[in-house]
Amino acid sequence: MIFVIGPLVQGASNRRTRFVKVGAYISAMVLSASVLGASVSIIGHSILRQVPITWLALAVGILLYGARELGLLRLPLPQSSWQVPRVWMRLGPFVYPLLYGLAIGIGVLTRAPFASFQTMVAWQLAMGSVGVGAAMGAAYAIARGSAPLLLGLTASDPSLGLLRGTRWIAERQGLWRLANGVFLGLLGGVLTSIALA
Amino acid sequence: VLSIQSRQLSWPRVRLLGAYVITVASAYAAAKSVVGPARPPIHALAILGILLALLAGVSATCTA
Repeated sequence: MIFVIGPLVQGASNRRTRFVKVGAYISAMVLSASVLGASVSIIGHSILRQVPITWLALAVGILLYGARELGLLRLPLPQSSWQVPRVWMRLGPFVYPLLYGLAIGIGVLTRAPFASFQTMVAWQLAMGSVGVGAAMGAAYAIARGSAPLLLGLTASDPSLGLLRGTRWIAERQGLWRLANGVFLGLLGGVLTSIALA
Repeated sequence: VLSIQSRQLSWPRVRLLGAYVITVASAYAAAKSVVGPARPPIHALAILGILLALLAGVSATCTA
């Protein structure tokens, strides 16, 4: 597995350089994820606003994909197999974190093996609120960028801790799949209640 | 394309399916008792969406 976050901290000569690179990566990711969320919401607002069963259809979809995450159903998960090109690393120490962040923040360009991502995009579409869509995009990007950072900060060597933190999360795919399944089940139940109210 | 997997009738799978149904039903009943007959404010849907986005973000770290 290629860790995107690894090159951000490896080879950086000092703490300030590492901080700027990681900051550029996360900022770009937040920007692109927010823009995508707002864009999806605008599309949803214009298409789904007058459709009365939008939330009920979304609830059914969430329940089915929750069952998929737990291995109870086999359902296709739309995702791209494209990977961020390695040649971007040659573009300079501060350009590639920006490009990586912009590309990964969009989300739909790269692999998304957990149904919570597709559900999030569908939720943004159903909400049809630019502000909420952008806020959800920002939350997605901050969680994606900050989770390994928080784990890394607890280590004595932040660079090594950052890599270990990312690896700790990546090696627990079963746990995240279970978390996705349980959360989507809960969310689907709540949303069904709301949709039928 | 939608199909139940072939090893569906194993006991652990039945228990998992039961646990999933109970989870969904509990969430439905809890939300129904809180929300009542009225539709919830948009803020409730927004907060649920933000929680979903946070989970999606942490999960996506696995592919980084």
